[in-house]
Amino acid sequence: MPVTFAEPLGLFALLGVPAVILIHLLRQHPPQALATTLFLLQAVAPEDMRGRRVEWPRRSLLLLLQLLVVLALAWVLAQPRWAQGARRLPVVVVVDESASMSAFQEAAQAELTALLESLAQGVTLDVTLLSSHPSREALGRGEGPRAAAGISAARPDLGAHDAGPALEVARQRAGQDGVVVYLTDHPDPRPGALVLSVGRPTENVGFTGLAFEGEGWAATLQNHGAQDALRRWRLEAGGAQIDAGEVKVAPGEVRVLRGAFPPGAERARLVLDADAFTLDDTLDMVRPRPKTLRVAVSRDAAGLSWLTRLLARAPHVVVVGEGEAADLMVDAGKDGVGAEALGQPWLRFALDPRLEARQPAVGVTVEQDALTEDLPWSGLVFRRPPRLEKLPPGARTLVWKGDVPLVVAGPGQDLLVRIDPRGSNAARSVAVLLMLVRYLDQVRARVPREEAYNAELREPLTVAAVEGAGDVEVRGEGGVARYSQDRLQLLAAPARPGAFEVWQGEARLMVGAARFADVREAALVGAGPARPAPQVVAAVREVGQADDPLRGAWMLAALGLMLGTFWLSRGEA
Amino acid sequence: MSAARARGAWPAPEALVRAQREARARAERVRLVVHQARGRTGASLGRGAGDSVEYEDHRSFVPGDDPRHVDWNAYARSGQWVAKVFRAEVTPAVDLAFDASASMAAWPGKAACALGLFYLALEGARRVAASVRVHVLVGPALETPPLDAVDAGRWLPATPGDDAPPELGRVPWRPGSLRIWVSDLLFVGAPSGHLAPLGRAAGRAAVLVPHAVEESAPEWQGNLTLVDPESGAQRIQRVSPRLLERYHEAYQQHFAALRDAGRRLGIPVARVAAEGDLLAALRTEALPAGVFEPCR
Repeated sequence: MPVTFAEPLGLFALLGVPAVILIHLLRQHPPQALATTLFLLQAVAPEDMRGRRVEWPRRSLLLLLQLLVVLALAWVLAQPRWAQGARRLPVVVVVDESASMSAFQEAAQAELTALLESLAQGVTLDVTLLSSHPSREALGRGEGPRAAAGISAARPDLGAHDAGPALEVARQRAGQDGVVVYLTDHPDPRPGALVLSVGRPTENVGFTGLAFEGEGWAATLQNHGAQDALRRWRLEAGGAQIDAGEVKVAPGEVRVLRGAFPPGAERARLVLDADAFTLDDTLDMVRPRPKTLRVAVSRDAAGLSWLTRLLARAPHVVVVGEGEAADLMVDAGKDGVGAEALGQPWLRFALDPRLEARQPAVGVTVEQDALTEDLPWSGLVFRRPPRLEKLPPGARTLVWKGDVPLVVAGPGQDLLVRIDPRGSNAARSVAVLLMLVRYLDQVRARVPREEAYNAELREPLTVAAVEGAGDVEVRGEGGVARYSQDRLQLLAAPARPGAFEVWQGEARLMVGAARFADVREAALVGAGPARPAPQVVAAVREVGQADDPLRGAWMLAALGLMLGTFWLSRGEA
Repeated sequence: MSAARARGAWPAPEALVRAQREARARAERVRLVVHQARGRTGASLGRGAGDSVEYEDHRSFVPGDDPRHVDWNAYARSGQWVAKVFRAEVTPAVDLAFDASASMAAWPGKAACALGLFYLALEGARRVAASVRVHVLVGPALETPPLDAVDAGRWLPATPGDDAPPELGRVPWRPGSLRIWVSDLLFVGAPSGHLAPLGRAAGRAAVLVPHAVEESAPEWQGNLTLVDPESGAQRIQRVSPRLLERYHEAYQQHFAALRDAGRRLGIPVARVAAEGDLLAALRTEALPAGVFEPCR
């Protein structure tokens, strides 16, 4: 029956064994013997054979009793526990998969193995490894300390996230007698879990951001450490080094590296000398090439000067002339929805022919929609439009005045604005202008045209996928992620830095570059070690273990031996 | 180990009287060989010619011889004056010297053996009506207690003397006496020099040497505090098997040298083991050496 010790420090009492022996060695006197022939012995024993001061004790009952006292005390103090049968202990390990853990992956396995070994004394461990993000699959299962090897399946690439939900799942899986271990790199006390932090304060310098200024790029670089850092960088494009340099960064300082995009290149990569945290040591970029929205403006709408100014200033919008292919038709005039089928989205401003008939009205009601969310409608002054007799199927009113629709989203991407710019302050209304800009962006995003985009890791992406044309694939350096049509809202940039492309069938929708940009994960000076206290580990082990049934007998034996020792010592004195 | 025990102590007078009584019983079985001793005219056969009826030899009659010793039968046969020579009848003189140093009483067995040898010699001398003197030597000190005191058990010193060897030269040996020297002979010095005084003044001598197994085959091992019972000196000694072997050799050589010296001086040296029965122990060396002989 395996035995463990609730107080292993009690075994230090065994140091008394050598101490007792040493005392006996130093105190013992050589036994006396009569020697009538001492003159003969002196003749044959040279001086250097005189007796040693220390000699191994011979047949000393007192020594034997004292050693037994020490052994009995050590046994009692260490509080042995006997495992009851073949006990199995469920252990659920929640592995922090935040990006900062990538710097401590090797230490994590060793430390976890050591912890599991300390827990496995007298019990068999059923180990389950979970990700700290509940949406990720379990990392593996196993028996005993060897199961720690399963953390090699972890992908430490997540941003800062709350491990609470995963820990809660772990507690439920562990059950009442089980153990939950949170393997992380920052000491972070978690109720109900043994926190094993394998981190240590680590210097790190890395890229944190990217911007483009005309044909040039500007990459921000930050020293997340506590010491000055001198780092070398280089710019690569097409497999060749284009530029290089050194940059000195003080602790916490942010520096900006600037340069021109290599002529003729569509992609480039900034590389820093590698350090312990490698995710932010490279910065991939593509020459930005956003989609443009081609807009055709009708003759009536062209009369709205503020609208033409808005279209001219809206980002990535191009007004095309008559006869040219357009992605959006802007019109002004006739009220109503769905009567025109132009084969493309349209934006229409309904002009009220009763120009002098009404006074301005105020006060609108806004439906929840991406176009109208959080816009300040209170300052809008307009004439109340007439009622709409009937909305076509699929049309939806976004803004109301009483029971009169003011802004109607038609089927597809149509938008009817029933606020006559001529009889209102719509041209100066922030709500109206922002709604129109949002609308233009929405339509532009759905234009099935390739674009080049620089994204952060796991940044949600919007592509104009064609319905019925198959799944959308994100092809990155780490593999291919496939999204079906009903999961396109989850479309995101890859989790590993590098170039990627978004494809639907044979159509490439996007070329891009993903970069690490989570400065919270890059700051490793706050990382530090933390191990469960030995008494906590011992307490966990003790669940299901029995006290030594002979503890009282051992104490009595120790007492009896001490009395015997005292009696013998007195006799010797 | 108490100080008294460490220095050795002789038994009380009552125990000595008991020991003498036991010696009388043993004297029924062995007797001291004294027939070649010289002394005054007495009841024992002497070494020279005398007036006893014990015929010894013939020789030519010379003037001055007792005419009663003329062998007339020989004169009748040969016409020569031939005189019979008879053994002299003497009263032998026996000088008993006892080494009362502490080493003799180091162990009770050895003390009993030493006293047993002494009393056996005393009783043996008395049985041949010898003139007995007892000398007790403790180092350079010499005492000659009266026989009454010896019989009363009050002849040994209460405390042991120093560790100097006994000086046999100071003993007033009587001319022609038989000298019995009871000693363990554990002294430093030339053996012949030590034994030579025993043979002075035409005396015959024998040495009875009690010895204990603690001396001949000690069970020494490891660190020991060895105490000399005579001087009280202590020596802390780690005794290895090798050292013990060398000690055994030295011990054997010590007594071999004493035997050689005794052989040259005509003094038998008979060692007697303290362990076991004394009469049995005598058969080892004392009887073959002619110091004692069995009673017929």
